[in-house]
Amino acid sequence: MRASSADSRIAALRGSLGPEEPGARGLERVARNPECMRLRALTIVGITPATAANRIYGEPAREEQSPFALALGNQFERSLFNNSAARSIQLYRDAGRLTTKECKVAIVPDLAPPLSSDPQKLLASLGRRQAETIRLLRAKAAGSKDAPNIIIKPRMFVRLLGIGHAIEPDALIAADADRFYRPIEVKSYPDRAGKTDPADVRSACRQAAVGVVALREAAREFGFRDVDLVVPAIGDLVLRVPGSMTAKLRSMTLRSEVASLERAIDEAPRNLDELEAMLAPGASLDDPLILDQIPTSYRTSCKEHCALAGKCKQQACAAGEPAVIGDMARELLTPAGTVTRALDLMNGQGVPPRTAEEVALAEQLQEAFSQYRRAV
Amino acid sequence: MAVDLETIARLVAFKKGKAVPMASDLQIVIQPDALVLCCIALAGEDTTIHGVACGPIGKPAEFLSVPDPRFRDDQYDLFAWIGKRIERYYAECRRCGTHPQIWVSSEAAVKHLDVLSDRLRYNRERADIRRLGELLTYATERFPIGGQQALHAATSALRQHYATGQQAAEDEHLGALLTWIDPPRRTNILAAVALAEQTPMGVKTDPEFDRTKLDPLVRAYNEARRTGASAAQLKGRAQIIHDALMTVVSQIYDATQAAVEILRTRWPRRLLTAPQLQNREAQEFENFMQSRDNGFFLPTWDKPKAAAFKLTEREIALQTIEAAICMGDRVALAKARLAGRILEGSIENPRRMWVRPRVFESTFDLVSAQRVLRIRPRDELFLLSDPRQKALVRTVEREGRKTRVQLEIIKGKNAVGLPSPGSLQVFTPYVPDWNSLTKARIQLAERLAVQPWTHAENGAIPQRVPSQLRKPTDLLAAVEALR
Amino acid sequence: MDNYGDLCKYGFRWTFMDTESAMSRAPKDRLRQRLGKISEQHRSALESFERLLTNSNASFAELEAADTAVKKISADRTRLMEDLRLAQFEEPDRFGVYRGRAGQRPIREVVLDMTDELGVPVSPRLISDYAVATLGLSIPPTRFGSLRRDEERAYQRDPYARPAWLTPAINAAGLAAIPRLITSSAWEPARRLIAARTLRVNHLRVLLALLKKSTIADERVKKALMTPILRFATWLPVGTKLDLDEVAEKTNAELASIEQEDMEQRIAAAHELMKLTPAFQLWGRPSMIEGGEASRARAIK
Repeated sequence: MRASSADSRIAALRGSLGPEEPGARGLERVARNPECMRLRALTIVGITPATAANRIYGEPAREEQSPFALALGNQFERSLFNNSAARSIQLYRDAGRLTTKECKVAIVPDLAPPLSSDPQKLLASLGRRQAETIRLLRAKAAGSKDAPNIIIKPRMFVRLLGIGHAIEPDALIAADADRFYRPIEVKSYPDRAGKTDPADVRSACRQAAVGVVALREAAREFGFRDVDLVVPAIGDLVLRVPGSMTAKLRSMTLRSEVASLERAIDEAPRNLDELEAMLAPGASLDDPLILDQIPTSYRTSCKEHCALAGKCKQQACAAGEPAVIGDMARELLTPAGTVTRALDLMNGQGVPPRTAEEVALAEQLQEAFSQYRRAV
Repeated sequence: MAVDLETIARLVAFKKGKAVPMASDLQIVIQPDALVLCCIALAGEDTTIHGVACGPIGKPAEFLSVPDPRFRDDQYDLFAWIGKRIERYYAECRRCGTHPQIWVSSEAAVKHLDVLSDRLRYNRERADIRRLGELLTYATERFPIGGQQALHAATSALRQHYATGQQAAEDEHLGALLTWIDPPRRTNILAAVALAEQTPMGVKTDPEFDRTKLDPLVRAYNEARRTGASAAQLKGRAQIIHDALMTVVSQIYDATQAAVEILRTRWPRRLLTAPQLQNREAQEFENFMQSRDNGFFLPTWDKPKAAAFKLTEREIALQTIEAAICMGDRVALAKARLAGRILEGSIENPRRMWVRPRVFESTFDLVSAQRVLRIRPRDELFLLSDPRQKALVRTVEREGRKTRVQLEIIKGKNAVGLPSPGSLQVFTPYVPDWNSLTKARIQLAERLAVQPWTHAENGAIPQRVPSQLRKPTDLLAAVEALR
Repeated sequence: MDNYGDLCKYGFRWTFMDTESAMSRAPKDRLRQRLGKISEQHRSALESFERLLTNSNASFAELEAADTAVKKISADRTRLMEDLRLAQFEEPDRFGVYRGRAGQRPIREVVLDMTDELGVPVSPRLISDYAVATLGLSIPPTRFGSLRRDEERAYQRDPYARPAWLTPAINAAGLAAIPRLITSSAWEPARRLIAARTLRVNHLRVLLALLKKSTIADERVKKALMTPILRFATWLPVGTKLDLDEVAEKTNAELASIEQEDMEQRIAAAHELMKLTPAFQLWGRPSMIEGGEASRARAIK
């Protein structure tokens, strides 16, 4: 079977490290920097960047989130989903998205709670959650009038290389007249309308996009042909009014986020082949020397989402990649390839320009440098 | 895409392992009585201040903290403490006819003050908190305006003057930026920067610090409070939290002070237009305070008319400050030259032709070797060395690697005269006009006296009225004539 | 050895120990004991750190982790020392309220009463808040986990030992238990079932129960109930003055529009429930996983 074949190839590439679920964050990360083969490779084989940084490269593990922020986030989420999701229902009623009769709520963790802390039983409860989710989604797909309007913490799968990776969106929403669901992402980031931190919005949108992709896969399995219409690239963000627990609902179009994610997923099989071709037989990514061989694409935005950003920066500096001084420099200095070469061209040192592009770049650099020297 | 000056500077800095200058003159005004304000918020709670360090530039800080800013009364007392200091400072500035100036560490700190001011100025419970929100609003609303001097982020101010050998986003860490400017001796700059980045310099404490130190202390305090511990016990616990926070906030305060000191001492040359910047800021401050005295409301969101005014203000301010800097700062001039925003070249064929009695036409050619030029016929340019002279671009022609621009002097023919042949001249499309904002406001007030139907509430689409004007035969020429 | 002497010594020692054990409950001594343990941990952590330092194969990450462990214990030690310093100068103002077992109702009885008063399947958190508001009694929500397990075990030993059991709500689809919601086995089956709209119906019923309670309660209870009422009346903006009659009217209006459909579904599910064994009727059918899905469900790290 293709899935198990991919499974064994992936396990071999992973080496001694156990598989980790990337979750929605891990999946969306790949689409953020599609040129980074290393990030893509790690996601495909089931190693998170944080684990790679800590266990493969020996970098100290850094706490990603403050316990205060975590507690606030949990509290905000609870305030929306407690009391039978009363606040969520109200939020959607105020937005005119749900009527009084559209009050059907399903809380998936309640329907399949963990019955003990035994790992096997926990695994079983996760399986039950997924089964419950499928049952609820199927009811909606079949047009049942009893299908929930809000599903809290559903457990769905996004297939990467034929292997399902679990994701748990915060919630799904559908009015009775809607054909299928839309994802809801709840974040305790402050909602300041146009002044909301773009990085916060970006991160939330990307995670919602993963929900859209998972819903489209489910819709396909239930027999929908026009999944793009049944599950449009739209998600609901629920953010927090600053200084309070009041929620604010914003519908966001996620076309580019969903497109980049679907593209990354589609390219994954080719990536696995490429990855294996790149490495020696028997090589695995748990070896830092092997992982170093996988090309990266260090960018300004890497620090926002990837625990390997520091490591990649070190390597980029050692290699003299122009990206270390900015994305603009990365574009402008492409003909030179490295910072060192760019400096040589600028100073008229080293090997003379080899290509027409280098000649043009050298002229520009020298002119600009002479202007700079005159000025300072 | 052409290579810009910033890329060059970053290349040089990377090679040197040290930040290099990006300006020849001090681009900002530093008020001698400016206030340095460094706040730490509780992670996730953007409208709180957990601890604050506050003091005039060059002086030690006053510190204050609350054990848990989620307790409203304690938090309000801290706000009130800050409010008193800001009120006193603003009153003093007003008395002296100057403007206040607040320094924070980075743009994250500016955003924090912005969130606070938005929230506090609508506080219904305490007038002193509301007042603090209003006073902070002055600084935060001025921040996006080009050339403003009310609120400076140390990172932004330093970045106007230095280029480092790292990405621009990484310059937002004040510790990293200061390390580039003053790198430690005999240390790999990148290692030194990586180490500096581990010290928080924004408005949040490090998550690891929160997990291992701050969270347990705050929990212990809250537990003691909940179980009715004595005042002395609570005070003791609060002091421990204060000490922990102060180690963090004092580093940010010291770094901000260091940034101000660098700019003050290493950039002795001020922009020529610095007095105008100060005057403008003082005027804006007085207008703002007058509005508060008169009880005018500060809305969260602008109505269309107010938004049109503010947008115009921003555009004009940006244009003015860019023109001012270009005229004074050599590096800015070099940048503009490279980007083709100014025209530089040697003069050929200066001519003075008789048109009719007492009317002469003065023209000349300017031959430029600039790789990039953003000049079009009918553009009006000012002579950089003497902005009294204005010239109109007649034609623009490429001659191999050079560009020949024919110009006609339309103003300052006698005051400045024709340039001499072979001389190197620089022309710029903008010169700072410090009255342009007033003129624009008057014009806007007239034009927007009646709300356009597009922005009226429940505005109905007006009836179509056939035009009474004669249709031009050559539509393209008619459109071109509007330029 | 002189027995009498020993006895005297023993007697004295016993008295001393008696006094000592009383003293060991004093905060200062507890703190000293804890400090002793922390010191041991600190020593052990330092030893681990030193071992890593001498091991050239140890990575920087391991050193960092060991250093963090030392710092954390050090921070705990500092905190405890501060506590001890304070305790040296201060006597505690108040000890915790001592509640003897004799004369106090068992928690399960209290929970059963609360559940009956609220009238619908409810969460432990709500019962906890309701108990605090109405009785001034604190029942930590975490207590409910063991309560649930104890109930089920007691039922399995002897189903007739008690007139009513604290049982979980039952999911109308699948008839499995929803342990997070508590019901009484004395209720009719339909009342213990959760169908598509039941969560919302129950939310409104709880609000009505709270409103009803507040009309008959004294001032203290009335004031205490305001917080949960405001939490449940979600349509009210924060800071609005509460008009209880208006809230009741609106709640009844919404309830009227949805409860009929909900009741029909629950009655239909109750018919199915009654076909099961008595134990399953009360505790729900065992959870099943649909074939094939369990094998694809991986553990999340």
